Amino acid sequence: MATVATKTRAILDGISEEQWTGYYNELVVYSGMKCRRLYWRNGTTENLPETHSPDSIVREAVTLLYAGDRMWNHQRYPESSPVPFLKSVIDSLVSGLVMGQEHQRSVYLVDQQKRSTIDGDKYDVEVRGSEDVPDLARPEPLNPEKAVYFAEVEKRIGEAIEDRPDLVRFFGFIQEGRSSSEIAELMQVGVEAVYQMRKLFDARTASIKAELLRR
Amino acid sequence: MNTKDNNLDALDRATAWLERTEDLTLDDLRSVRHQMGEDVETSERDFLKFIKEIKTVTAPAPFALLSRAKQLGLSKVNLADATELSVPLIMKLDRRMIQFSTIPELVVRKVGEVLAAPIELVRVYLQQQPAFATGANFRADEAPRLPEAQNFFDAVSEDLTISEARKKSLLALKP
Repeated sequence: MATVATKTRAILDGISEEQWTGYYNELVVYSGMKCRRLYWRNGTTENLPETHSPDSIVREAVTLLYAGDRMWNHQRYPESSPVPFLKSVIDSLVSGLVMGQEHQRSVYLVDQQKRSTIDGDKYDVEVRGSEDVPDLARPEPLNPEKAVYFAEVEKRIGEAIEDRPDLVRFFGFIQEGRSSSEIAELMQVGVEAVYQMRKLFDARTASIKAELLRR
Repeated sequence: MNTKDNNLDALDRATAWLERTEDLTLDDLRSVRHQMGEDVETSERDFLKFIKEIKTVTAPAPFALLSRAKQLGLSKVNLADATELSVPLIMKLDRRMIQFSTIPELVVRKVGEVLAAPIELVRVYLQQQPAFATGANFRADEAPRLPEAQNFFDAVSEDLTISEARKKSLLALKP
């Protein structure tokens, strides 16, 4: 296994149990939602090997980070929290699983790096790219029944927030994949206001979310 | 969900926001997990234990089977005995000369237990690229090439050092 970069190790060593608890819950929800969306799209989880679950995918991502098998690119992920980087690792793990290539490790090559064999010899290896990985595989378009259902869900979300133009805009931006800071900039408000919008959005759409989670 | 993709279908438009977790508080996240039917408290405890183990195991040096065994005061023979394998099998596993997909889960678990290492770490290690043997010395014009990784059960079958009883019980794990 490769040596973990000093900066990465320092950050990891400085993470408290309390912080890990928050990160873990965020990553499991993220991984769980990704798997659920896969299920909704494909109608089957058969492409996800039985030994995998949202929790196991998170653990694998964390293991790859600690083992130095996935290098945290601090320029691309400058945050002091490993969560954004780990989400990208989760994306690549789920993509690999969905594509039916269990434990596919290298989606894109981003760099070359010297590594050592167990006896100290140096050799070049791929630094596994965990960025820019494709989203969930889309083998075919949604079937008409699902397309109708999800269009209906989107419509209901729209109806739940239609009296609040700010929430309508907020929802549009999150559908585009905008970050909170981007939304704040686009809406010319502070990031805290964006968090408040998210809270309100969640409260307004709670029953829809619950329905989706039961599916 | 970091792409500003305008070509989203109905499912994406209706559900991609569910992956947006960065705005949620810990209470929100726990609540979502409860809704997902998960045992939040137990899994949090298990995860923190896992983090503690992985930190301990990877702190002194990058994880490898034999170096970890050495840290624990185990020789190759001790490790082979404790894992109910053989020294040649241990050496091959250490160099990732066995195809990971053919290694029984029970064997991976046992190695993790003996090395007091999270099973996830052992799995990641065993799936890495094969490595040359310690002390291997090459003098040739062409770069040396490693042989293909072997099927676990082939490696057991051809192992002349392993006891018949141990061989039999390992081969019995063949699916």
